[in-house]
Parts: sequence; structure tokens; C-alpha cells
Amino acid sequence: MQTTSINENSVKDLTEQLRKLEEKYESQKQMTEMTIGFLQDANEKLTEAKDEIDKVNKRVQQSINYAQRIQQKILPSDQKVHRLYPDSFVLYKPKDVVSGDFYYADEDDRFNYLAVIDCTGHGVPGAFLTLIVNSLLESILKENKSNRADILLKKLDERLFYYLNKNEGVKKIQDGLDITFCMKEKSSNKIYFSSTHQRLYHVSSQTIEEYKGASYSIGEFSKRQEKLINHQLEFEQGDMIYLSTDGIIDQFGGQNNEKFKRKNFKNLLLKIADYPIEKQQKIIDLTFEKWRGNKVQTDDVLVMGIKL
Amino acid sequence: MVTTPSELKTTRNTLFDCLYKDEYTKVYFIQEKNLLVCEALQEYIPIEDFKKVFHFITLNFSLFDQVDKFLFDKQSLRVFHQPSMEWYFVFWKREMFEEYGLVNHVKILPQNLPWFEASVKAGRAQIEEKYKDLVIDKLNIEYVSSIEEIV
Repeated sequence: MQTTSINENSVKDLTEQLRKLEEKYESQKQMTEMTIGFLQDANEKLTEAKDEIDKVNKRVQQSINYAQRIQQKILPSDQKVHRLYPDSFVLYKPKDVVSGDFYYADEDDRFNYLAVIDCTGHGVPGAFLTLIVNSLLESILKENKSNRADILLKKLDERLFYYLNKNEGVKKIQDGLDITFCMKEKSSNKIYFSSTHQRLYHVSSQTIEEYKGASYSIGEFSKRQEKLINHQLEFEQGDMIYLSTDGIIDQFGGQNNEKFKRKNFKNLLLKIADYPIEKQQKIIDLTFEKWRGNKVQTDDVLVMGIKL
Repeated sequence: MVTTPSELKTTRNTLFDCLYKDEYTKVYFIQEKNLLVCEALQEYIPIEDFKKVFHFITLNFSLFDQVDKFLFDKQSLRVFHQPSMEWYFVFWKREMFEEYGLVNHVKILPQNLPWFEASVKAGRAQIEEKYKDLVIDKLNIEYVSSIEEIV
């Protein structure tokens, strides 16, 4: 009688355990189906979102590529640069498709003009500014009767400031540019130049002279504008001058992931100044790429070298 | 083992450990943090046992010292019963919010089980789609990876 009772309890227990196991199994099954459905749904939504992002990305890319074509139009053609400076190179490596760096080369009766310009930022915002600056620079040079590069930069400073801040009630724009602006006199062996936050390097007879730009940015338009100086450089035939934005010296890389630095750049220029111009460009480019390694390009890069 | 309401009264204002324990769950209160914890002990909790422990919490909630946060430690769970979760989410949380103003909920999910995490998201999405007047927007729900992290 007792045995029967124990057996009955055991069966009851087992039945209950079985019921719970079945419930657990059923829950597991439902949970799996629900999760698969949820993940499939999420996957579909992600695929749709990715397609949409791809479409938008393609449109933006096409737009930027077109902007690049416009920006290339403001750069002097290779033919023009080589006509004005027959033995010269331009190493131009925008960080993005469009660039905040650009160069300018033109002439009038008295001068060959040359400028290396670094507008605030890079990419699309920088590129917008290059278009404005190029246009302002052209109009200033059309009116030029002076041999003072600093005066021309002061005019550019004023005009850029008013151009960017002409709308009343709109927050002031602090954007601007750093520049090295050169005027090579046609009738002499003189170059007049002025610079902000950049350096001009003059290599002559295996010595290098470094001209430091003013610690002032064009577009600021303040009393500090007085810091702009007009330099005058006399050169011998075969001397080299180099102009550069800060992209190359600020590039991170090397063994310790540090900046390339001005000192290394200066030493490199001194080392290569006697080489043929194409070789110089190639060495600077290779040195830059070797330094960068697999690191992202920090900024737009622009270096110009002119054999005088 | 279930702590009776009278026992709870006698242990108020002291640091006590276990208030409730059965085969599936354990409830305890960490007084210095005003944290009430319900810990799952098994891979799976049948619905009647699930409701039992949460009813215990509801019935005795007013007897605890002020509870700032409620933590549901699901680390041992591997399977959940969606109707249980629905009840917990829709009924129990609302009741605790409206009756006792419980807004701070903390959860610990099983660690390194992305599949379980996805299932929780799936279950929650299903509930949110089914019920439009959830109190969820009024609650602070926080995820931590261990009790130590919150304590």
C-alpha cells in the first residue's frame, strides 16, 4: 500500500518535472523564433538603411567630385606655372577630394606673382574659402601699383574680413588663411614677399635661410595686422626658394607617431636643393609617404620649389 | 524559504541578506545602497514561480526601507518565457510605478551571450509594439555587468 503511494508521488513529481521541461522547451522554441524574426527584420531595415546611405553617399561624392573640377579651375595651369617659373615643381596632395590649400601664379608688367595659401580647415569648407580668396587676390593684384607684398596682404585681410562678415546680424566668421605671397621683379633679381604663419626657405650656395612669417592670420583684420612685414630677397641664378603650407611638417608618422617637424623639412630641403627639380619633388613626396606610413594624412599638403 | 511580513518588520533598519528564496529565485536587499535585488538561480523560471516571487516583492515592498533601485539579476537565465516577460513588463512594472513610485530599474543580463541579448531586445520590441501605453518612458532602466558595478 505504502509502495503504491510512493510510486504515485514519484509519478506525480516526474509528471510535474516533465511539464516544466516541456514548458522550458516550448519557451526556448518561441524565444528562438521570435529572435530570428526580430533579427531578420532588423537585417532588412539595416539593408534598406545601407542602400539609402549608399545612394546619399554617391550623390555627395558626385557633388564633391564636381566641386573638385571647379576648384582645379582656379589653380594656375601647369603650363602657366612652367611659363612663369620654368624650373619649378608643385607637390599638391589634398587630404580629401577638395582642398583648403591652393597656390596662385600670375604676372603683370613688373612682377611674377606666386602664393601658397592654406585656408582654414580642409575638405569642402576649406575649398569654399579658396574660391573666395582666389577671387579677392585676383582683384587686388589687378589694382596693384606697389612692390610691397605686406600691403597687398593687408588689403586681402581687410577684404576677406568684410566679405565674410558683410551680412548684418550674422555671427562673425573667424575663418581665414595663412599665406606666403611673393612678387618676383622681372627687371631685377629681387623677390618681395610677405608671409603669415609660414616660412619661406632660400637655398643659396649650400646654405639655407629661413624667413619666418608673421604670427597673424589673414581674415582676422585687427591691429595685429601691423605684424606683417615686407621682406626683400636678392638671389643668384640657380638659387632655390621653397614655399609650403604646414601639412607636411604636421604629418604624424615615423616610428614614434610624431609630427614630421620643421627641422626635418628644412634639413631635407638643404640636402636636395642641388638635385634636378623633378627629382626634388619625387624625394619630398617619397619622404612624406614614408613618414606617413599607414597613418591617415593629417592635413592638405602643398610644397612649391622654384629654381631661380 | 520565505521571510514573512512579521519577520521583515523585525529586520527593518538592519542589513539583512535573503528575504525570499526558492528553487528559481532569491530576493535580497542591500540596505546601504537601498537596492532590492531579485536574482535568477536557474536557466529557466516557470511562469507561476516567476509571478510568485514578484508578487512577494509587491506585497512586501512597503515594508522595506526606502528602495531606490530594483535590480533584476538574470545572469543565470538562458531561456525566458515571453508571456512572463510581458506580465513583468506590462503589469508588474506599472503596478510598482503607480503604487510605490519605483522608477529605477537595473538589469544584469548573462555575460557574453549576444544571442540572449538579442532575444531580450526582440522580446522588448514585441511588447512595445503590442502595448502602446507602457510606463517605460517614465522609468530609468540601466544595464550593468555585475552587482559590484552598481554597489
